[in-house]
Amino acid sequence: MSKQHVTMTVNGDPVEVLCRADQTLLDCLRDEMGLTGTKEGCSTGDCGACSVTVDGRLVCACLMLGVEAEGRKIETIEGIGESEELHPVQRHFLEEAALQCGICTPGFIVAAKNLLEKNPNPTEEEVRYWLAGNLCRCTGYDKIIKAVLKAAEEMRG
Amino acid sequence: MTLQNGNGHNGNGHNGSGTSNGYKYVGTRPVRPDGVDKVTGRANFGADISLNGMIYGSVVRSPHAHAKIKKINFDKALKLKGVKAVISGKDFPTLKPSDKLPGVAPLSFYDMSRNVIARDKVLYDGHAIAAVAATTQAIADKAAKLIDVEYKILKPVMTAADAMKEKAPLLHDDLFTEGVDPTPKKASNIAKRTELKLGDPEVAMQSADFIVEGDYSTETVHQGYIEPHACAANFAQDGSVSIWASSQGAFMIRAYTARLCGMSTSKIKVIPAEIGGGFGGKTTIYLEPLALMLAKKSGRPVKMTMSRTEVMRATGPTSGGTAHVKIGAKKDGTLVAGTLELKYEAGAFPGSPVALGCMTGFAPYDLKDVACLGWDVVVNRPKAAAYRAPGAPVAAYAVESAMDELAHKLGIDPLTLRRKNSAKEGTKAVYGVEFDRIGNEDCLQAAQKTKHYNTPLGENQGRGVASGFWFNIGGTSSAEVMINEDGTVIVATGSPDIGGSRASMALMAAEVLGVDVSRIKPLVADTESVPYSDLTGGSRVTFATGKAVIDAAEDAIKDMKRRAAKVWKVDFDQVDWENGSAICIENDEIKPMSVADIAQIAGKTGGAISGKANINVTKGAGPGFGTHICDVEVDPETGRVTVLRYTAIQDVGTAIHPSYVEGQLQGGAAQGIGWALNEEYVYSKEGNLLNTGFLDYRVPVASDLPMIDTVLVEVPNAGHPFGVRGVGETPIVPPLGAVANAVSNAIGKRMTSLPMSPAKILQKIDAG
Amino acid sequence: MAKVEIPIEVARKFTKGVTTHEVEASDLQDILISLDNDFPGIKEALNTGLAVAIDSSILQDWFLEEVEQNSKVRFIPAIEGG
Repeated sequence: MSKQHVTMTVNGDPVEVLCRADQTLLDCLRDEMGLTGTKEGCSTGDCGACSVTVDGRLVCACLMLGVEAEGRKIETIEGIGESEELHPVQRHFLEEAALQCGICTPGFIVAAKNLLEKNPNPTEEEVRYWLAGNLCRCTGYDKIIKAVLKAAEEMRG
Repeated sequence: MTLQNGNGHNGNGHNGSGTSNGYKYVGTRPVRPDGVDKVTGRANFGADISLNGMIYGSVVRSPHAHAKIKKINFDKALKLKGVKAVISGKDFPTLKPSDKLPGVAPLSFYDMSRNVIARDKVLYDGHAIAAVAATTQAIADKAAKLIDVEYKILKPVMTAADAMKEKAPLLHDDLFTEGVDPTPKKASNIAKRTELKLGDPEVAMQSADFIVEGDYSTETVHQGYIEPHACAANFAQDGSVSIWASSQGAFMIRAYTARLCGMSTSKIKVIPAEIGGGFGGKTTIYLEPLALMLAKKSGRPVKMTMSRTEVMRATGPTSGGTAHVKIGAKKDGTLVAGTLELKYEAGAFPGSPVALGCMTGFAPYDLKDVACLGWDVVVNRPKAAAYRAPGAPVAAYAVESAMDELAHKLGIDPLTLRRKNSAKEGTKAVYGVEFDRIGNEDCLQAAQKTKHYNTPLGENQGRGVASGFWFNIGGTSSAEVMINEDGTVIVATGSPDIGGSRASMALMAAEVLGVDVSRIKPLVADTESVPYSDLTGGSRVTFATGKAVIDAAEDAIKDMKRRAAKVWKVDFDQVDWENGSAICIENDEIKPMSVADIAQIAGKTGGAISGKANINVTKGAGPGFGTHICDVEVDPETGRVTVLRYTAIQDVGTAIHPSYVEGQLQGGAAQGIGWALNEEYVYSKEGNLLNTGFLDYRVPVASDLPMIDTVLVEVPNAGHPFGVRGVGETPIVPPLGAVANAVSNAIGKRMTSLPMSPAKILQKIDAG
Repeated sequence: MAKVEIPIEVARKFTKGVTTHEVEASDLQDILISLDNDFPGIKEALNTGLAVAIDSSILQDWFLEEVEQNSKVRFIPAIEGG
């Protein structure tokens, strides 16, 4: 299968990649660009480990083709936080011990940051429903929800 | 005993600000040392590895639950451009039934080998038959589909009840039931019979005023780790192999892969990747021998990753099983006898955790007359792997349901009934061992005092409680504590970190050395950088590897004291260690030397400084007890269950990093809630797994659960310098019973089958 | 004398069902040898797949552990973990 030339913005940088027409955005990020922070847990959009944003919208990178990213702005876990400072969501994940194995963590952080950009003051229930597309098998979600609520509080100032 | 209500504490203690337990670092909550890598996407898990010239593997799996392999034809696959190697069972050494891992639990390499790649027979839907490596994953997957396999389809047998029937189709014609005398001459699907007994429960039962008796059933469930199995293997021309893999034990991978591939241990190096969840499911191997053989044949490094479908069809699950339980009691609630019969589905090869179910079911209770009978039965499902407290949850579900029923019959509060009969120091468990000081009663008492337990319920709501027990184990662990030139410290162990153990290793080393925890860097070393360690499992790492770290830190202190003695020109016994410094006893004019001071001149006093410990902790792993409280609401129209409130109470010994201890309780509870309400393997009549993804194998999501409150009861374990008890496994034992009791109490009828799907609940309600 | 308890299945096969024995021994190997004298073949059966509990301690991996006078020694199913 011949490859297609795709141009997109990834974490603020212009990127050109060649990807097969049947290759998912997830595979493009991981295999073609070496951005392995985005994880694959299911490849069917059920676990959220591959959460990224596309033009500000939260998507599962496994459900989108690489070629569909043409001209779009992609943000992945690698684009969150400054060089010497973590994003408040990342920091609160650490302080609340909201991760155990850490495989779901990038997806959760991308999804939670996206929520807080849309809704700076979510209720616990709103956080739970927004993150219902991200599976975590280690934590029982308790500390994740608390971390997101604390990050929201801090970001509201 | 001390109590920590887990929900007021947050990420403080970063500087070792001190705790109420008298320790400076132990019991604080610093940010985990591997944390930043994990919140920024830098951490490398199994599938993240990339090697020069790497190609990709794909596995051909059986579409049949039970069949003979007549022929495998690779011709079409080999013609596909980009295909570099194909393998089948013929490429591996043939092992014999006597090929076992020596030791207490003799693991069968004969079975493992045939599980990793089928030989003449496939035994479950998804059983690996062949594998192919190609230049891209897409080509490898395409080639796998071009490999023709001819089968002779056999009748599958899917449940223990069916498999135990006289005329059931046989999975193995060389399987003869162990544990019966004389050993049968006729092969069967019953691999083993286990019986445990104290006193004479049949006679004792006759003195009961009340007897409760019931049958309970559960389905196969999966550990559900989010990271699919993944590895990469490199095979050099001199026969040396490197394997990068995510697992619960790099040494485990080395040992098992060496045996299955007929290689010597020294030829295989395993580099542990971060592990994205295991829960017992990554205590064995699946892909590694295949990747190794493909790498050998192709001359290229080979990476293999499973899809979620492959994970569900061919790895992990834990046994579904049935339980028949009978408990007799006096009018005042005193238990007089208990019996339990368990039938567990082992999957395609023997080895269900049924004996552990027999040992654990009645463990929270003081019963002088008690018997447990277990049957290990093979069926055409994937070979069961360990899952958090293997075997215990199903047995506890039956016993705790019966206890709830008994409490109702007697009109006694269910926690009071449990307290009245609780196992305590000196109680003899059914497997014959008398408990030391345990926290069973402390947990029940703490549960009774929670606000949760004393809050009234509304309409259609029910509350359930249940207890649970797990042994916890020790085992072989190694650690090296290396003092850097600037006095910072590296703590190397061979124990993969599956839930924050690096943090607890750093805290224990900090406590012993008297060095701030931020100056300690723990790491998980590969198989050629530390001596052998058992895998991470059995709730053993913080306990046993922690003990190795403590010993290694003490060894390093000894070395540092020796250096100080040399500098001060005093005898070694004139030097003491206090607050991270060597001090000279009886001469306070000599300025103490800190770790950094000593490290700075290490070259002048004899070279680099380190301490090491290689130990086998054979005893002292304090058992874990827990009590859970669950409130649910059942919608009588739809049968849907909402978990309203949940509290997990557990004796955790000393909590080294309380946040991660709470996390173990919360995570175990969530898995148990999933087991109770949603999760099950659904097979077609032909034996094909129908729900192979997270869409229809429904693990709990964030909106399914409330906050999970924790109460950490701390009864220090006398068998560990800091009082550590394993904590990881106990939390999955009580939830099945706690949730089932809550639902039963909400609808006023006993639920006897898991998962409690809305349909089952409606059926129960409608049954009148 | 150490008091030794052996599993029901092993007892059925080697000791006509008697599960409790008193043995003069100072370590676990002594116990095995002594039992094997009385019940030939039992040593191998006890040596595979079983953990040992000496009083309240469970030993997963055992070999030469010492046994005190009046110790209770039980051979129990091996424990694995998840």
